[in-house]
Amino acid sequence: MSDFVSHMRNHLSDDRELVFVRDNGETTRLTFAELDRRARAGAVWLTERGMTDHPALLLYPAGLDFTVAFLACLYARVPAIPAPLPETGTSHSGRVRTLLDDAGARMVLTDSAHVTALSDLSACVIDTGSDPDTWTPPVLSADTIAYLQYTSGSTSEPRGVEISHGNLLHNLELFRALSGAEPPRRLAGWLPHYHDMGLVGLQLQALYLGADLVFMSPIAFVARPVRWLQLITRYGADWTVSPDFGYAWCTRRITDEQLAELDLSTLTMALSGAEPIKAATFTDFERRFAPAGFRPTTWNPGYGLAECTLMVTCTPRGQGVTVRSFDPSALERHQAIPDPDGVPLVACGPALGLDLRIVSPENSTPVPDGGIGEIWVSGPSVALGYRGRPEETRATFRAGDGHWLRTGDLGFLLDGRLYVTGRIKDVIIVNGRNLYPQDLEEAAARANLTAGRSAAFGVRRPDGGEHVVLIQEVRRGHSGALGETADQVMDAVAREFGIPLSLMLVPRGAVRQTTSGKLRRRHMRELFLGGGLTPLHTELEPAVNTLLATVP
Amino acid sequence: MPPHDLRRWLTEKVADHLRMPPADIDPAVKLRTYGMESIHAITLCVDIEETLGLLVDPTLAYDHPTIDALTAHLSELLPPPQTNTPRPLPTGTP
Repeated sequence: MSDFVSHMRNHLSDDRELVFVRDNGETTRLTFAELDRRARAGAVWLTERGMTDHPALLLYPAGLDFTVAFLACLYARVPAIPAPLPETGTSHSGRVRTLLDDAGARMVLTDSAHVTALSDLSACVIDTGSDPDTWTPPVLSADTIAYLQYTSGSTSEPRGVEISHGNLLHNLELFRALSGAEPPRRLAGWLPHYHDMGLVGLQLQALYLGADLVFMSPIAFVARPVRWLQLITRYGADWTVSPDFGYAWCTRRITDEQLAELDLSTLTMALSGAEPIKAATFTDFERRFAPAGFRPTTWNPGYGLAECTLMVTCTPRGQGVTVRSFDPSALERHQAIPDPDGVPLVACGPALGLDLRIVSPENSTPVPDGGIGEIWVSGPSVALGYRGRPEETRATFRAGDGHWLRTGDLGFLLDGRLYVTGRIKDVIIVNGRNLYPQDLEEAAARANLTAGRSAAFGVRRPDGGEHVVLIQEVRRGHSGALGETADQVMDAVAREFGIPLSLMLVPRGAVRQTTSGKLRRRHMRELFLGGGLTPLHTELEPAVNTLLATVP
Repeated sequence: MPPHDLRRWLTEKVADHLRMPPADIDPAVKLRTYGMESIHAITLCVDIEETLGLLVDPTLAYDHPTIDALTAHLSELLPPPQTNTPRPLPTGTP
């Protein structure tokens, strides 16, 4: 079977279900058989509208309506584009239009609660009233595009990763293989469905395995993280996934009274990925939740990216975490030298079913064992490319002899396990969320139209978290005016992205570009950390200040 | 909660979320300066809901970005404090 639809329809039954738990605790349920019925009816409606092979943008709140619409698209051979629901009254609709244009999407789908708010996009509610028995399965092959995963929503460089049915089935099978002979029976989580880990690691994995899925909204999780562990307790879940942030947030926020009511003993797989994994997050969580029955062998740290559908490497069930320590000064020289007193790094598991190569980013030749280089991947999970961007596709997906994906991440292999050490691409990851410098720079430009160029990048704080720094060019002026500019820019970025920011205002011309006009963000980062910039005004987070003070 | 109690309570909550001593928070300085981010802002909304019984918008901490501004805004939303002084008995009652 070469397509997700035929595979999933083999598991349809009335005793498997999706359960969505609302913020107020109410639950809504859909059995797999009913989900299939609605998806077929929705597919009939989409096909009648001539949507076959034309992408549709899916703007939904967390819940079952998204899953129905997503499947209806797959059942109708409509490439689905999951994206975050724009907040009302924000400037997000510009981004939505960029996505629509970039993907060549013909239709915006949403639920009945949001259709009026999205009327400027001609959004519609998918009609599941048609007779599902009039649905005829479309011709689908391994190469048919199933959905587009947008890795950047920026208006300057949107990039939609084309995931085929073949990619999806291969990656889902890698996940299943992690669990060994006994596949998971019940998945629980809170990750958003527009996030590759929420879509593939929860929703589609449940449908692929024929397992129950119990889920909640990301906001409900952030507000009351105990609700996630209560889902696991109440439904006896055996599989969950989260970025490192989610586990750390539980350890931090859950009270002793809440802990006393939890039972995590059914959990046999807790996947961690999508952002750098801290060894301390695991040990802190284990210590805190051991009384609730959580076992250290439950962890499955992994590494992946949307360009490889989701997963590249992951630790199989029951093996527990491998942590090795390395000489920090050698790591800076791109060498991995074990040192018991060094920096602890978490192994992200072996590559199972994909080829992995560590390559020098400078000359694309494989680095010797123990050397750090760019992680390259090859195999059936590697996506088709970026939609409508042949140049970027060639540069990223056709490296080496033409069939290697350049991940833009740095790492090394030791005893067959991958360790991720850094990044040469520009993305910044905060609390499991990918932030693109282009988006931050655009927000800064909107906040102050007279300011010049800007460059955003991430720095690693002493606590291991990433922090955003923005270098902004301004005209020289009196300090009061500079303070005001700084305030405007920081207010705008804080509000739009919900992150703290360190800002440095510099004279015009200080933000460097290449001769072809490309921003040199990594170079700006080095200048910033090395004290090589002459600021007119700075607003630095205290932790970032210490970082600069420690630079020799 | 009288305004000065509300101010102290907010300062303690925010300081706890940001892992810093309450005395280091200047009530007139924007909280983003201290590293306030969306997860803290949402958590503060939960605190306000659970302790003060007020349902507030998740953008609260951006609309009212300092302890002073939050105190002023929430004081307006809260019912006026009950006075504990016993009302004097009307004169002339038997």
